[in-house]
Amino acid sequence: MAYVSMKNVKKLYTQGEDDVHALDGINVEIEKGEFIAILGPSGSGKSTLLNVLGGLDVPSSGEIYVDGRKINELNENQLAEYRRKTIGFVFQSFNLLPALTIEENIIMPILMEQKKVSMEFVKELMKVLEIDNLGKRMPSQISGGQQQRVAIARALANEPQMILADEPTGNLDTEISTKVVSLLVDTCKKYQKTLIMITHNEEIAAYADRIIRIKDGRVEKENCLY
Amino acid sequence: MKLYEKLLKITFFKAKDTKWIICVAAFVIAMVSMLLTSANSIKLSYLQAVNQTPQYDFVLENLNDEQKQKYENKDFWGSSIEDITCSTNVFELDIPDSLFYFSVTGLTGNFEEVYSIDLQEGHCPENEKEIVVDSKFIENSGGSYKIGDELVLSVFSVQEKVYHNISYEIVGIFGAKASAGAEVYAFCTLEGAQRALKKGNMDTSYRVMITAAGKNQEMLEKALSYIEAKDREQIGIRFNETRLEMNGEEETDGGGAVKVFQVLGILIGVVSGALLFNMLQVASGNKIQQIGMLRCLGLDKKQLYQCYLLNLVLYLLGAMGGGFLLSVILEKTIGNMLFQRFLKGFCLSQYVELSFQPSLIAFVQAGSLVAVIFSVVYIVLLRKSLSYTPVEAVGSIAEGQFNIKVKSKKMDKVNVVTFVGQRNLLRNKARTFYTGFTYFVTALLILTLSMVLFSVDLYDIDALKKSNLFDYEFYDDSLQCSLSQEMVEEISKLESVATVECSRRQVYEFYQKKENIGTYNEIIDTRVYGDELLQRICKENGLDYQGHESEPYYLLLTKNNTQEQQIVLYNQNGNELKIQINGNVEQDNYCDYGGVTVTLLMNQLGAEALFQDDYCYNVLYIKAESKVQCVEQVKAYLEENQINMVYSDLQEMTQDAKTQLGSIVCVAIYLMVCICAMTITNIICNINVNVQLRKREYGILIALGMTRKKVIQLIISEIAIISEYMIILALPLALVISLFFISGAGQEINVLKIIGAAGIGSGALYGLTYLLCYIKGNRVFDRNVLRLLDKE
Ligand SMILES: Nc1ncnc2c1ncn2[C@@H]1O[C@H](COP(=O)(O)OP(=O)(O)OP(=O)(O)O)[C@@H](O)[C@H]1O
Ligand SMILES: [Mg+2]
Repeated sequence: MAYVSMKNVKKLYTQGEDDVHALDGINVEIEKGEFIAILGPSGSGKSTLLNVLGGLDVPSSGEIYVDGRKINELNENQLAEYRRKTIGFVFQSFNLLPALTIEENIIMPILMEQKKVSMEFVKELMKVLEIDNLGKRMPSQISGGQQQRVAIARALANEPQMILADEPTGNLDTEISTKVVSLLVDTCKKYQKTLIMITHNEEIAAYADRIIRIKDGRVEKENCLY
Repeated sequence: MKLYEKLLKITFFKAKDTKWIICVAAFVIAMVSMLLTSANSIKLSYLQAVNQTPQYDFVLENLNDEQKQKYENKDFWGSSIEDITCSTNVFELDIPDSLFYFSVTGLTGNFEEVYSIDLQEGHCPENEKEIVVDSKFIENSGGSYKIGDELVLSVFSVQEKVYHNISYEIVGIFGAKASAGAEVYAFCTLEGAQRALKKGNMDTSYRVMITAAGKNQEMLEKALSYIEAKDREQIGIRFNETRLEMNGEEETDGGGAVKVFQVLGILIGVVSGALLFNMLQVASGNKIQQIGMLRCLGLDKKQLYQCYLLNLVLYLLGAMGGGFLLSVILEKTIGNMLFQRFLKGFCLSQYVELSFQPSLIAFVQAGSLVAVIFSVVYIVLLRKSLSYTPVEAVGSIAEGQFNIKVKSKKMDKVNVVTFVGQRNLLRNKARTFYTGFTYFVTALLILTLSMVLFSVDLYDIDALKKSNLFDYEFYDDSLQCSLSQEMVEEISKLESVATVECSRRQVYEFYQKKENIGTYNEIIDTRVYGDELLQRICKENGLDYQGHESEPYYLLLTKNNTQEQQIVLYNQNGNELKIQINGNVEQDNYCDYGGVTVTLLMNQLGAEALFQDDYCYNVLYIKAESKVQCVEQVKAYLEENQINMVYSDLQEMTQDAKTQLGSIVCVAIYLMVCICAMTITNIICNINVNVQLRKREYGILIALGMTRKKVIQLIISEIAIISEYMIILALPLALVISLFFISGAGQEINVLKIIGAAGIGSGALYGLTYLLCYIKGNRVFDRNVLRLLDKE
């Protein structure tokens, strides 16, 4: 079985009278270490797909397997553990904790694991992402691009198997976003992480191993670049 | 106007903290206004009583017939006086076949005015056969008496040693006067009283109440100069009697109660002020961001001030409305109830009819307190917000994050919950400070109260000494001397009797001449004690009677802390007696009456020397071997010797005393209720606003894989860290205060009990915090993670 396997995943939102099929029978398989770009028009269900896969949301029906575990049947605590150990999230709106320094934000997932923090790895990660001189600052004291790189570092800090990034560059200008995305991609490649990234930017999508196009909650087209 | 509508929608109606701020403010208003109302009600009740009681410029007491006739004569006084009222001193008449007795007063003049009685039915007595009685008597008799009925009372004749009946006709019933136990009141004409006193072969003693002409000092002095020199030494002269007495009472029991409530009010005011301040501080970070946002949108300073002024007014309106409803509910329920219970023990005055009198003034005062706090907080808030650039304000820089000094901590193996919790506390220091302060005060109150309540045995007080030592008290109703030393010894030999001790109560009254107060003559009561009891009294007052049994021994009992070596007394015949005092004492736990007058306590030999009388007793204190038989055997013995004595079960008296003590417990509970209500409000509001405003941060943590349990722990830890520190800080101070209280109550300090109480008190506070955090946390985070992450 593939590393990630989604079988006929559906997500239904009931909004008063009418039902919204945010996901309407998604079937996707992703291999370990792959870089997937998800494209699609606004409202097509990209974020929903990522949230369901990342254990932030539960699908209405269907099955999701990650590394052989059926994650749509995990309980609350198991889901939390799954998010903590297997997944690294990069949110569109960074979501850094304002009370903590950059360094502390980055090591937060490791602290939650109650694991010994390997500062060498964190330092290395910060160097790679070019934020190694910002460690003692607060999130409000650094720029948007820097914040996003911090968010990426945080997603990678705990050495998860899979990074899920929802429009990580949506808030940034083209120049910076290309830089950030290439950093993200390079870092994932370097550490052999599976990367699933939602983007509107075809140029960025061109870096991906595979592009999945979503429309109206269905996979419209899957194309392999090689 | 459209603009302000929009602004209010953002800043007030849609703001998450609005309802909590209003809740706390309403609560504060209600609490403070209830306490102020209680204090005011007591004061008002006393003042009403003071104003209702007529005032005489002076009262001549204990006059004999001849003296009465002289001073009752208006011509005697020339033009110096305006009005004279004459009454008999209060005397007792028994109600046959019952334990009850009337305290009767005969009076010329208007009863309703002089004794401020409230005649409910009938009219005042007009001839010597008519009498008006207390409605309490009518109730107690089960309605077998009504107006027009004959009332037969009995009076004991000391000389003939028999009871005589006197019949009266009930012509009126007045509202019950507060009185102790079996006592009820009755009033008749002067002649009506004389009739009874004559039957009992008692000399009538009169009081003449005198009002100086024009109520003026000069006339008063002139009037006093008429009093004959030979009378001055014998009769009691009291100035401004009623008024003085009333004012005195307001100072003592009523005043004490007012002070208790005032202190409570101030305490609660301070704590709730801090609570409200804290509440607004919690919300301030968010408000500063909000203000920054509005400034980014182009609002100028004036518009901002107007917008937040409107906010303030709306908060106040909401708080006043809510507070009014709440205070009405509080006043109607616990306020009224606790007030009544509380005062039963505190107000002993028969003149004062206490009533709970809610007033708008207290409410307005409480409202003003809240308004002031609101205004101060808002001005500080706005000034602070305007000191930032809009961008700084919008980014959470304004939340004080620049001020966090990050210590390079070894980051491996930190507890994520305490770590993030501590960091959050550092982030808004003002909020942490006020939360801490409210916690500190609550912890202080709870710990002090629990330590005091645990360690003090309320029932181990001096007033209950007698009841704790003996089972029965036998006494001669007519307070005549009737038991010889031999008889006492014989009773002690009865098999059901363990021990007997005895005393003689109310022997004679003397007058003491006090040079420095001019014509003021003080009445001195006398009391004789057997050796054992006298030794007890000495011990309780830090003296030693041992070795003095074979000589006259005198103790002077006064409450005013005097140290007399010798006193000069005058007896009824005007003879001077010089008494050497062996010691001055402040308490005599074996006699309930007195307390107001100075009393001379003495042993048998002292009595012999003073009264030239053979000594005997009229009170027996008995500790029984077997309770049931004891009464029977003692009664039989007394009957055999034709001694007329009644007895009271001291355990029943203990029960009565406990009821009174209950009111002290009531105050403690009252305080506890207030504090608990405040603590709960504090915690709930703190958590709610905190969680509401920082929902997103908690959401991020959950998205990063923190379990719900851990997030709840985090919320708890943020409050718990504060409560831990504050409990630790409050503990020594609470200990000092409670030790002060415990030793003040004259009780031993039990370390184990105090440790236990401190443990329970802090455990309860900590537990309450924990529980509320848990409930709130569980409810909030039961939601979808994504919804927590939503940006507004
Ligand atoms: N909580 C919700 N309740 C109801 N409908 C929702 C909810 N969340 C999403 N939807 C609907 O589900 C559909 C998919 O939303 P989703 O956020 O996944 O879109 P998206 O592809 O990420 O769009 P975008 O590119 O704009 O972020 C949309 O039609 C949206 O309106
Ligand atoms: Mg989206």
